[in-house]
Amino acid sequence: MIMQNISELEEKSAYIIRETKEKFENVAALWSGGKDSTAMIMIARRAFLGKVPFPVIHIDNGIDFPETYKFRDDLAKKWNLNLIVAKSRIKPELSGFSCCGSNKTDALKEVMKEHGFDALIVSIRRDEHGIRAKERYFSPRDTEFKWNYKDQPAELWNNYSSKMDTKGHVRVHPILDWNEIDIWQYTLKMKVPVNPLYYSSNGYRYRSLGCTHCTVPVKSNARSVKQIMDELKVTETEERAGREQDKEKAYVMEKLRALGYM
Amino acid sequence: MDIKRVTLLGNKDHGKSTLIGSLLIATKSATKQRIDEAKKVSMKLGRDFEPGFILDSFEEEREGGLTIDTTRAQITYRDAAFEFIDVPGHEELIGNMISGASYGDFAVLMVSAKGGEGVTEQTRRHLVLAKLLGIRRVVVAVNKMDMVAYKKERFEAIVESVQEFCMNVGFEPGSVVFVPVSAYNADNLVKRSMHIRWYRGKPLMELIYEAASARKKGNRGLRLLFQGTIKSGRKTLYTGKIVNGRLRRGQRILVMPLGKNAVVSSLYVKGKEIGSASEGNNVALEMPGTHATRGCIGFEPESNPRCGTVFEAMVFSVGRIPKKVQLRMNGSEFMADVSVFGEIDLKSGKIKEANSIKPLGTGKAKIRLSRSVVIESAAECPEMGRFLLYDSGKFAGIGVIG
Amino acid sequence: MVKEIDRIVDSLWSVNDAGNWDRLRKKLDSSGIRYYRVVFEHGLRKADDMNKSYVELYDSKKKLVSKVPVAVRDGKKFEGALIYLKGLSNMNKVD
Repeated sequence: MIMQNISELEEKSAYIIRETKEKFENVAALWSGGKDSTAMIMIARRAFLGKVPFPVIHIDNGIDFPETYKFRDDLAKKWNLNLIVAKSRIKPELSGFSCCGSNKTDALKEVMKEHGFDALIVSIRRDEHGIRAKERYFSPRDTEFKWNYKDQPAELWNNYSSKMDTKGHVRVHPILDWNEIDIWQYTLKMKVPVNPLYYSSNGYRYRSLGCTHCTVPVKSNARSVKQIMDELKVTETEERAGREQDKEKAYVMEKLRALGYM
Repeated sequence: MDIKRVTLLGNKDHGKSTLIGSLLIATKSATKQRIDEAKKVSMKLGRDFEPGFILDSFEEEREGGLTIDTTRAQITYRDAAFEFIDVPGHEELIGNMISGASYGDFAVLMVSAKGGEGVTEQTRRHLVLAKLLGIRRVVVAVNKMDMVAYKKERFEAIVESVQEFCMNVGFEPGSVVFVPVSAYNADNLVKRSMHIRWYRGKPLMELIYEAASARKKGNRGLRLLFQGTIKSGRKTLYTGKIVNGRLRRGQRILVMPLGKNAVVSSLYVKGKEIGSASEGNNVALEMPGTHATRGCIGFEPESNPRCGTVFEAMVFSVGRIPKKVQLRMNGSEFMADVSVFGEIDLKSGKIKEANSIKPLGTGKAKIRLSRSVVIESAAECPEMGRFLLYDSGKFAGIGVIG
Repeated sequence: MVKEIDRIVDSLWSVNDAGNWDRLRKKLDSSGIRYYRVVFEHGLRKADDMNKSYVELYDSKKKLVSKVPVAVRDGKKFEGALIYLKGLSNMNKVD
């Protein structure tokens, strides 16, 4: 895993977060209590001289880890965050991929509508998903995600799309360029508080945190951020281990078909 | 380690995916597992090993039911890391170039040496756009040399054709370098190939490494782009980004286009008060007595920036650029009149007279703005001389001053 | 103390409402319970699976003390209840 210059990464992210605050009237951020969104909040604190100038939303289906609730509540207090908990209910009938059987999107829609947020900061990283298709820091929400460059908001030379280009809200991805190991390096350097679930106990740790149903531990002996980084430097498994392998094979075949090989 | 983004240009089917796959293997940037999988897939299809199969573009992300495939591969070479981005088609590549994130100032261009392929209109279009986007150095990989029996004459013909076009478009002499390769056979990618003994130059990765590490030149004067304000307790501070030069606490600066001098009485970077900040820093500062707004630029007082409403620019058109457009530059928006007076001829790279620019074409225009701005050519300070054009809120094109 | 926890857990299984969860929450810190383990016995494909899922509660010596549901029931709707277990430590990693 390639480690980048976190000082430069932070500048880029800080610019995007300030730009969001400047261009939109009602900004909020998603905060899961995981390492990525917590690092993002740290960047925002520094960019705004100590005070995070927007509310943070935790979409809670009630089956997150008890540690996550504690981490969330303690840090919200310590950092004086404006925490909004959007409760998502467990649906009576669940279909395939909806995580944890709850409809997080519905809960989010509700809270966005209730508060009238026009920009939502989401801490996704490109390296999370093998590929994160297009390089988009600002992604208008209600346009079709077509690869039609004429309709794509241009994201060039520090010009980002604002509300003017869309009627819904805009998703903002300030830490898109960070790699997993960069987040840890930043966490270490800035002493960002860490959810204890990331540390190993009895030979296992959690590498990315979802709810208690969908999160699978990985083998690890790392008991500190430093040790986590040392492990990541040599690991060859993807962050989201436990993804369904067959599904990826199907994609391979489909891609080959599309290319005219089959 | 910095990851340097490599803009990969070139006609569809001239070997971009194969190149990335081969580089992943040759630089040992791909895991053995991934290589084995690619071998398996190749075998299943009853064909020889295809390095392009290593790319993780086989994983596809689905969003809104649509399949998008952009490939990014991270390649480590010597003490640097490079990220190659590949998109499937010509339109997608253009779209990615003009709408994607910022690029470095160098690109790699693939040109196939195979009979019937060679330098195409797409090749030339990519070069024109690259120049406009501020790419100053191009490494041209003349590919598929294995299919022309590694003939020197074929390589030289392509070099001559690309070289001439590049000079007409405005690349500086010596800023475009060439290497004959076979991406498929990994000839001249990381090591010099025994198949091409007549080539005395460096292999591709070394040329990319050199292009990426070449130092930026240009002026070192202060350019502070004002972004807005933030509140901290009872204080209101200005925010901004230093795109060039240095800024010190206590320094007197000239705020344009206001034309006012102001003293920076306090200066913050990353939440901490500091004595000086430099290029790349997002700053917060106090500046009593001056009301800088978004789009204002801070200079050193002794500098003499040009301000005005009219300038000439090179413009790339996505579709059609109407006479009246919205123009976004340095964070502000303006109404603008655009009068085109020339277009780049894609055959020669020279500018010919024209009063409109064709879709995906590039031309020269005179631009008149609704109010005064700092006018600085992109050659002087790339971050300042660039703008985006919108037609009724829809993205219409990009341009650079000068 | 364990007896009191037992009583609350019993009532939780018969009346799974916020009131009973609050009662558990209040006693939890002084109960000697330190660890939890969430068990989705039948996965989580439909809401009814919540009824078959539970959380094991352990003491400081990692000895099983009790079991509680994973969700609060509110009419026909479920809402996860793990926030009531705030302060406990994870034992799912210890399979």
